[in-house]
Amino acid sequence: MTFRSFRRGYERFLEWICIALMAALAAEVTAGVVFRYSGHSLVWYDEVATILLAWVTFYGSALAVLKHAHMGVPEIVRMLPPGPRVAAAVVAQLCTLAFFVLLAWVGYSILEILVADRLVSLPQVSVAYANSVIPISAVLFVVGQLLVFPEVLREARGEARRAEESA
Amino acid sequence: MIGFLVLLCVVALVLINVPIAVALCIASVAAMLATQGVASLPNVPLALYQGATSFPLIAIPLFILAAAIMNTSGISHRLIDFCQALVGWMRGALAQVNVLSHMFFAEISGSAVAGVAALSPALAETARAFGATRAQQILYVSLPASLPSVVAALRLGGALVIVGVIVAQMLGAADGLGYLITRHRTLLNSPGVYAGIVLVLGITGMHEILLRRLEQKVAAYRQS
Repeated sequence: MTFRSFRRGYERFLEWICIALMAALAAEVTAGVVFRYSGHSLVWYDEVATILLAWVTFYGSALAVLKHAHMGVPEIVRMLPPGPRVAAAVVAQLCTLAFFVLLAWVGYSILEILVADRLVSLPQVSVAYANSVIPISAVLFVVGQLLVFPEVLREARGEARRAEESA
Repeated sequence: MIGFLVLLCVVALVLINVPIAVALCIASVAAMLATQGVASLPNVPLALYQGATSFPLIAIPLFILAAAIMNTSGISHRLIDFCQALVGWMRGALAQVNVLSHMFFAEISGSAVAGVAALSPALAETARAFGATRAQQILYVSLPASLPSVVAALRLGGALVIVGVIVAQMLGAADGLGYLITRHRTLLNSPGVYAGIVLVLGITGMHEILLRRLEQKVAAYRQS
């Protein structure tokens, strides 16, 4: 399997996760409204909906890495000369990577503490399931970050070539 | 002091193109490590998770979903066609259709704003094709194109500022118009209260008139 096809497959995989979560969220909220109007309110509807929202947010953030969709300020870096630009891109990538590696590790380590906690409206479900999104999405984020690293580097270098040509 | 350092850290990270959300996280984690040590780290995933589980925010993805469904299934196009059929014969039909379709579905506002925003690049492209320099593009294309929004923002924002200042004076000041109104209300002195209210009305009215003058000056091509 080549690097490019793996990247495409990974993006497809994350997209399907987000689509499934989004559909589940929409269906769940609709069901909540319908049940409430028919007089049989679901107790767990809002808590599950907030959990789904958090899941969409964090899995979506991993997908956003692959799509270069995280909001940033690239203008300053683009104005730099080629050498510092590549250096800045590498430092920025390493900082992001370091944070998410830390987040994955800490997020995983608190799961065993949270196992004992239960959801308020669904006592048979552990909070750890809901919180598992943090370490999992952090790992997915790190993988995505590593996958786009060559692209970011190429962009930092490629623009350098264009700047030299025009100079 | 540590707050200032955190702010500095965020700005530095954002400037080297770290995503803004991640820059906020990194700076906060650095501050936590510096002030409370490694033992405070378990708060990081908990705080991140807590921040995302907010029931009112569920509206955001659902609105985006609704807009996507409406755009891909052609609902929004049909809606605009429908409004066109209803009020399209009037003078200034574009604005009428715009308002009416918004009344039907406020969700379209996202794409409508995008349409307005998309107009300016096309104009800038044309100007560049005619050999305008970058300064000329900004002066003659971008600035005039954005003036209506700027003036409208001034009108709305200015009114909000007046309201904000007066409410703030009512709650926490020992002077000013808001304080006057609260004081007379506490003393059950109705004429005093109404004097304050009339003054506020006068100020906002003046603000409105002045900005309308300004709008006529800078955006004279816009009728109405």
